[in-house]
Amino acid sequence: MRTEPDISRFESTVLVHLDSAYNLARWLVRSEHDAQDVVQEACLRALRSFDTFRGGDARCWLLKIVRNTCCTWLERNRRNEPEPLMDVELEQFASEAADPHLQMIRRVDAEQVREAIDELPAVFREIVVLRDLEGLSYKEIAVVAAAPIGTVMSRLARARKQLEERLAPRVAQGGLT
Amino acid sequence: MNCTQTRELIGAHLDGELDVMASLEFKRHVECCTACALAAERVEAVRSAVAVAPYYRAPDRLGLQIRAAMGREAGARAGGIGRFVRPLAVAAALVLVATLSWRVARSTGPSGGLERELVAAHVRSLQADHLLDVPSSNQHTVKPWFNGKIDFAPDVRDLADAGFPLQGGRLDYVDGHVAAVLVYRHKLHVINCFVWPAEGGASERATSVQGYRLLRFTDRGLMYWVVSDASAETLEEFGRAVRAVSPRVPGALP
Repeated sequence: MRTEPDISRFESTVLVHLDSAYNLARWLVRSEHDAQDVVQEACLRALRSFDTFRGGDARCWLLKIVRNTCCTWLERNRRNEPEPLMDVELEQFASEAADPHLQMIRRVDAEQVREAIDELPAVFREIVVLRDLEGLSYKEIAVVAAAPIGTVMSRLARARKQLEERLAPRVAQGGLT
Repeated sequence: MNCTQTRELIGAHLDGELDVMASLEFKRHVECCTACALAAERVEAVRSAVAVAPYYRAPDRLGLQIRAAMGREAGARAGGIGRFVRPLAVAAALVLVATLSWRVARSTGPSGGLERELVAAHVRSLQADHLLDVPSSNQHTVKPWFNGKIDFAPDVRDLADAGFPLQGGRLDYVDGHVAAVLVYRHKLHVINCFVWPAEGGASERATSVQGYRLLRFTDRGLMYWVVSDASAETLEEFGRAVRAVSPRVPGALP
């Protein structure tokens, strides 16, 4: 049985983070419509287990539920999303990459960045979104993604490396001849 | 700190995750190692590039849909409708609705159909993507949106001060009228306020159909039908708020 004050407490502590929830879901499922469904489901799940929320950071708590709901969604729609949100073994990138195209990366526009992030494997995409768009600390990301901090750090480093490689040639193609 | 250690900590340094000592050591190394300095610059370039990526804000209607779904869930729980009782409850509700509809139809004549139509429009509005054509809490955005779409000017006001924040508006079609619908929220409840020109005065009346409450009144030549799953008291309060803020402009609509 849920009482009215409980719901208003849910609104003021959890539902105020709706933008964060939607941003994460939108980046993970890559569709406006599906992101809305996922977030609605996640919020209802959160409401049902609100009794188990023991204070602390409500945003992280909600994001964790959103992430898990996205996982389920990605599992169900595997055809569109070949990489599930679990740790995958990826080849280690050489620490000395080719020409970094530093100047090029500094000229990318929002659309190029969006494409580059969208093309990242989901496991990297979520870390970049949580860190650079949501501004979460490594510790908070570790909670949301249910991974040790060391893993968060290495995934973030690899994600940024991949972004660098994706962004530099993109600008080169962009026709700065 | 050597080069390998430094490279591993570039991200943590830029993200402000290093403690003071490690941060100092990192800076000391980078100052005299151009290779590591360049590597750090590259990571920083990617970080700043990512900062221009879009941040997707939740659409207004998503918040409304979630609140409506939460309200439905809370209502079902508060009613103590368990999984096994549900089919029974649904059957009982159907009988009740049938009886009610019959009684409403009998007691109110043809307008009973209108009330059911309004409730149906309300329920339909709660389904995905139907609630708002113009999602905005700004009355100065919602009001002009109706211009040219209807031949009357609804009084669009944000009633947040009275506890009814404006959510937006849409057009609907009820009882052979095009109606302007102003959508408000009260706690978890969505309030649909249907407005069209009044044909003669109609007295204020509160009714309830299928568990939804309706309130009818006329104000300044406009007919208002308010539909929500909020309590009758809340609807009355809403009605008062709508009329209270209407400026009595001389020479307004007859």
